[in-house]
Amino acid sequence: MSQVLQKKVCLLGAFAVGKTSLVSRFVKGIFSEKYLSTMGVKIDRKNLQIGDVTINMMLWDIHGEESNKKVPAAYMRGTAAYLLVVDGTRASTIAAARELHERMRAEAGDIPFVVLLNKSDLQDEWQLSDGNMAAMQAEGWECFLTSACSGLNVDLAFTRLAEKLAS
Amino acid sequence: MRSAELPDPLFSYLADLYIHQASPAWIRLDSDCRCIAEAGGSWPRYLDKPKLNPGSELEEHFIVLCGQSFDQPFVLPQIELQDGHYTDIHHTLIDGVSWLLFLDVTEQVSAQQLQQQNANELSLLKDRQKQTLDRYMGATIAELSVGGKLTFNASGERRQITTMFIDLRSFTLFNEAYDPQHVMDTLNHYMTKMIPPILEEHGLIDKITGDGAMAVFGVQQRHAPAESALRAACKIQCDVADLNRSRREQGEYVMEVGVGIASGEAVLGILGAHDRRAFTAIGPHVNLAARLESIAKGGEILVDSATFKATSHLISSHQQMEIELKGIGLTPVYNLQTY
Repeated sequence: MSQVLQKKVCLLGAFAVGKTSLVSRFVKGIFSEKYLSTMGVKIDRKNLQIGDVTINMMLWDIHGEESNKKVPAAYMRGTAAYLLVVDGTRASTIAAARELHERMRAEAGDIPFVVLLNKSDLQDEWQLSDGNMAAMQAEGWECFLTSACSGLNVDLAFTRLAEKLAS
Repeated sequence: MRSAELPDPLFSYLADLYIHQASPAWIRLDSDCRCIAEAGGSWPRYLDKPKLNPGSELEEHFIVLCGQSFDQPFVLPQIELQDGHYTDIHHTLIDGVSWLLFLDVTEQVSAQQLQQQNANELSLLKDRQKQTLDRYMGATIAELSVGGKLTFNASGERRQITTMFIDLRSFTLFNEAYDPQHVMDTLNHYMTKMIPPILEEHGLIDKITGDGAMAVFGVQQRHAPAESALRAACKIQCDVADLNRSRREQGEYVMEVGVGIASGEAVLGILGAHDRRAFTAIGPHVNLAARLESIAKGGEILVDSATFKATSHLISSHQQMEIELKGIGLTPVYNLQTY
């Protein structure tokens, strides 16, 4: 008999890295070029079948981390897994991802996560160097080059996280 | 009198004002905090189907509260329960009983959203501006420029600088023989070898002329500009030679680079008017550097006397010549052939 697991999954990252677009691509299969900054939290839901386990992902699309607007710890409580999102065209967004990763670890412990290096379709503006990528991998971060615009690796990254939750 | 400062009627007036504005709705939870014991308030404001029957499971109605622990008070701010509607959810414990209070904050969030959107867009714009400058001027200069720290008087500023011209040899033949797209791709390939060494040495790319470029050293970093220029030139020749080796192996068209470098006093300033302005360096040695580049063969670095004197400790071998340069006359030239 199939087991159903309901899990809270947070998307974390600096502002305008594409968190909302990734959720929109993953849940609804759509993408909009228009940038609209997220306020607070919006929650979506999607089921993924991993073997005989159904993972019911409750996706917390949380507002971007900014110097004057930090992600509250209350949003992080009860999280089962998270996606760290970095904008590949803005190397500075790695620092925000790193800080959020540390805060999430302090709040929820060592729970599963994956890192999405987003906007990979914008190759001409790409800023992440081989050194940046190597540093993230050296820290044990499982990274995916994603594009919410083209859909590249979006399903793959969420599915990988679901696999980690199912195991 | 409920408050020392406010008479009862005013206290009631204020309470009504804010309570009305917040459209509160509430839930009393059962003892294990899984089900609704009692609910009341303005639920249509928060839920499409506001039927919160006693005994029904909390998580059926609110996915935001799935997995939430109720052993401590908490506040979940700005939760978008319905599209465009934001709610602060408070959990409080009173005499061992858990209460949830829902307050509508849509108006406040909408006002903040406008400000946040503007601030984020401005920040993104600044990032993009820096990236664009970065490509042509190098990261340090771009940062100074965006931060308003790299400024020149429109009337000009005198400074000792070194100017370098680089140019791809045999480009005209290549341009005539191949498809324009292929020419563009190949040029960009060469540029990735020719531009970074300049930026690494804090040079400023004054202009890119299709198959070449003019760079100025001594603008951002004033110390030893001739040395910086020479190091950049050697790196360019070395990197382009490597590229050409690999292109030859693949049977592709190869081009070499000629370099001319001269040093001297120049006036740095902004030329142009109103919406179209550009940085420029003006001085006799700028013209000299251009002339030297025009006579340099592929792989050669030709420098003037001033540059040679300033960098002689870095040069292991050279060839000295006297050459008649158009518009300048007989000039001592030093050929620092790199291979």
